[in-house]
Amino acid sequence: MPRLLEIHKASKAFHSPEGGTITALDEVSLSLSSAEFLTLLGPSGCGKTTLLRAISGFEPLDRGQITIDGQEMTDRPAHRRPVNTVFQRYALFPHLTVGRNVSYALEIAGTPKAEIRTRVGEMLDLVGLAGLGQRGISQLSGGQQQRVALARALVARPKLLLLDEPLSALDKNLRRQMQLELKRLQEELQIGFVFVTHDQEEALTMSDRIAVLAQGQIQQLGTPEDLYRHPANRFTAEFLGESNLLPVALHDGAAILADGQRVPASGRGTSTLMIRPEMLGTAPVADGLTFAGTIRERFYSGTSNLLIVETQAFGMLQALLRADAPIAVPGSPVTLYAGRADLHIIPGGAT
Amino acid sequence: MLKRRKTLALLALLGAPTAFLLVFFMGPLVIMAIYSWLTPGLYGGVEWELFHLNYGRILGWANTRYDQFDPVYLTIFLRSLRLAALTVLSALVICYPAAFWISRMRPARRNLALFAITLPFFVSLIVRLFAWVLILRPTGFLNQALMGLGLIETPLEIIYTDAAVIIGMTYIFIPFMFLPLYASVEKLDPALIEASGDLGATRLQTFLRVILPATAPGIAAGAVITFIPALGNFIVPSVLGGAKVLMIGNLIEQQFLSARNWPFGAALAMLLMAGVLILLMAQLRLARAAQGEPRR
Amino acid sequence: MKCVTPLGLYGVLFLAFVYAPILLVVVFSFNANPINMMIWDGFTLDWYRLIFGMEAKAAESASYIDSTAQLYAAVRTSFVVAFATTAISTLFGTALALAVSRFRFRLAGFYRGILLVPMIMPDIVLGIALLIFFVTIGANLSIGTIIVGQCTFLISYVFVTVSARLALLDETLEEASADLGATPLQTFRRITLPAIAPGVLGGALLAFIISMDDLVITYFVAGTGDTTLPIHIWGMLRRGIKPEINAIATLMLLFTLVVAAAGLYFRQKKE
Repeated sequence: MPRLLEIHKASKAFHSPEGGTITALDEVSLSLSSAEFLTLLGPSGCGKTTLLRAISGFEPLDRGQITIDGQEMTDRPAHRRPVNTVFQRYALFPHLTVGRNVSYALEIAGTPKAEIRTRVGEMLDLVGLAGLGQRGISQLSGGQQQRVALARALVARPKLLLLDEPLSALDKNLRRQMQLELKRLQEELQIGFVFVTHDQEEALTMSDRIAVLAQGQIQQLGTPEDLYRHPANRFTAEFLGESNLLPVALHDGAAILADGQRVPASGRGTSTLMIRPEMLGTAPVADGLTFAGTIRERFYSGTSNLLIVETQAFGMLQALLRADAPIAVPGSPVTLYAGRADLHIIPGGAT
Repeated sequence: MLKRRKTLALLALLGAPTAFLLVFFMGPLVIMAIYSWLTPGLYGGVEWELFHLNYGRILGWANTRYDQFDPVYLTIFLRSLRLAALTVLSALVICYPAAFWISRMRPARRNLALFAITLPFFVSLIVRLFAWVLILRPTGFLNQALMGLGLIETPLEIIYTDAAVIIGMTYIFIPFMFLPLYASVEKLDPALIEASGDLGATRLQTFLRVILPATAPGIAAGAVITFIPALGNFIVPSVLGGAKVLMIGNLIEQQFLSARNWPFGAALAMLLMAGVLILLMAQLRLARAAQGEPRR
Repeated sequence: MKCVTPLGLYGVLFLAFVYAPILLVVVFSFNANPINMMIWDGFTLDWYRLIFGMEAKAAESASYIDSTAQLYAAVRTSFVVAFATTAISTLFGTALALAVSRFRFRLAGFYRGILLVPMIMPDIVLGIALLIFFVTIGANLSIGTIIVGQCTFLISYVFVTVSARLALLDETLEEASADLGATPLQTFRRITLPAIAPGVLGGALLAFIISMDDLVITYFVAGTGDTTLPIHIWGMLRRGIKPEINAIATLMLLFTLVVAAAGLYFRQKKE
């Protein structure tokens, strides 16, 4: 059975205004099984939006192939592709009512009037806008417009929904709520979502899998937990969450830290050891790493305490402790411990 | 395939209008340029022979038996420049305070006032000029009123003078001057004026050092788009200026409709175009320089 | 009591300067004096009656005015020209605006620049260029040459108006439409056209008004038999002013004001 979405070596370059070329996509390959929530995550300019627009058909590829449900899409114009998009600023048609916005795809497809009416009603129910079909677009709040955009994109029952930073215009509380709702919708409808965002927290919360993009290439593709705990390179480690990155020398089956401490590791040469701030604690751990230093700063956030600790061998380290853990004041000495299971050696060189 | 379809759509949109403009806009301009270098026929018409004395008669190198340089043409050019410049000046003086007046209104009234000022622009040009004929004629409204008040005894001769032409052109070009002026006055922050006063400047100093420099781009833009149509105008001088006030436009018209020396008329038109182009380039340069320069 | 500032006083004078000449024409169109139109001699509707081909109240009024046959012919020509030029220039101007703002092609900047030229060049230059052109290619000066001649610059006005509207239209709306399955033609009809319709309408109205008002281009490319209304009035001014001219001018005024006010009203309402 064919995969829902298959991207093979997609490449795309743009001409920059100065006359040079910018590589937006560099041989990106990716596939998606049906009913999967995939997030394209990366900083602005990493190629994630270009990839999404290549899937929807707005950005023709220079090289490479895209198939959806086994059908070749590469040369198909956008309006003949079986995908729908939720746009960043929604792109709702201002001259049409909420109902007519939602029914647009069905009207285009020539669906019978009666069926259109029921399906639009269902869709408005689904996104929580029942009874607002007659409203004008300008009468809606940002969150409501977001829901109309969703309903409009889902009404034609696409197998694959593309979402281009759809939550970036919402305020924080609403955003959180919509994240959960989107995830619920995706599970309920059992269709594929490709979600573009630059917000790592959003990506971790919602996705089945995340593709981290930078400079037109996929840096790493995996489950949120996988990416967070075992970043494949320094970029992913730094982009996803906070981390302490310590240089190590790999030698004789061990990684040797700057202060001489060792942990078992394979390989040769230099590399980087990653310790997430929350993996550092003040309770002694047998068989792990120990860092002695001085507390420089302390940030209290209700659920936790973030300590900035100065060490002699590694400079500043961040440690995220539970709020109720006993803490000394800045200026006093502290010893931090990390268990061996919570360490991760980033593969590849120490760049 | 995607690309080819787009190209076809583009060609469908561009094809007919492009062909139309190439034939009926570019074509005439090119033929006029060629005409200006051809020999005028004896009884009107044209002979297809290269001839540079059309320009020579205007600019000074023609001294053959039939084609002599005549400084009168340059005089008419200069006179047109002068009348156009005076038109710009009077329009500026009239519109500048009005722009301030409207910029200080409440938004609802301001829109109404702007509407009121643009509306006459849509009234037929010939009707607006006709109104001034009625006003300025010896038996016209102005003279009737002044004599009725006992201020004068014999009617003033205003119509068919330079003054009448300037009044008429000022009146019809008021929207041209007003809108760019207003755009720059509206952007002027009233706090700047207060700040200047707060720092000890007199009203005149504030005007010269703050208000005038800040609105200079609007003044320049309004001046240029008023000056250009005023320079080439021939309707106003022929309605209000009579036979005495001759501008380039009238001179060109005469070559076509009474003197029947088309190549000479074409040469005059080419020189007018050249003048306008130089002016536009200068304005463009100034505007760019003003934008590129950091504010101090 | 509201205090009158010097600036406010000036503003009133300014508006008076703008409107007084026009109002004067309107007021004196009801003047019964057939010889000197600026000396009030009682109220009459005779000039309006005569223009519309009715009997005048004062028997001798009719003897003062020009024949209405020429006037009617001029009005007819003006309308024929205005409708034809509006149709052509709206079509061409809109097509050019769409091409320039919706397609990326190398000549787009050139088009944008060259289309400004007809609006800023002195109209007499365009007028004589067209005259030379038509005579050179052996075309008969007629209503057709007026229409073609006016279109050369009216296209620019429509282009500018529609382009301004297109610049406001979010391109992702068109993408959204395609994304929902609409063909380019469907997208154009359902999304682009409704969005730019006010601009197209505004451009068409502007073209119509400018065409009805054009003197210079028409003056040079009109055949002897085809006189438009502005040219006809200009001729009347040259031949000596007749009393009905005020009434004709007032009617023209009324007509353009209604069209322009409607246009401006719709534009403001849409925004």
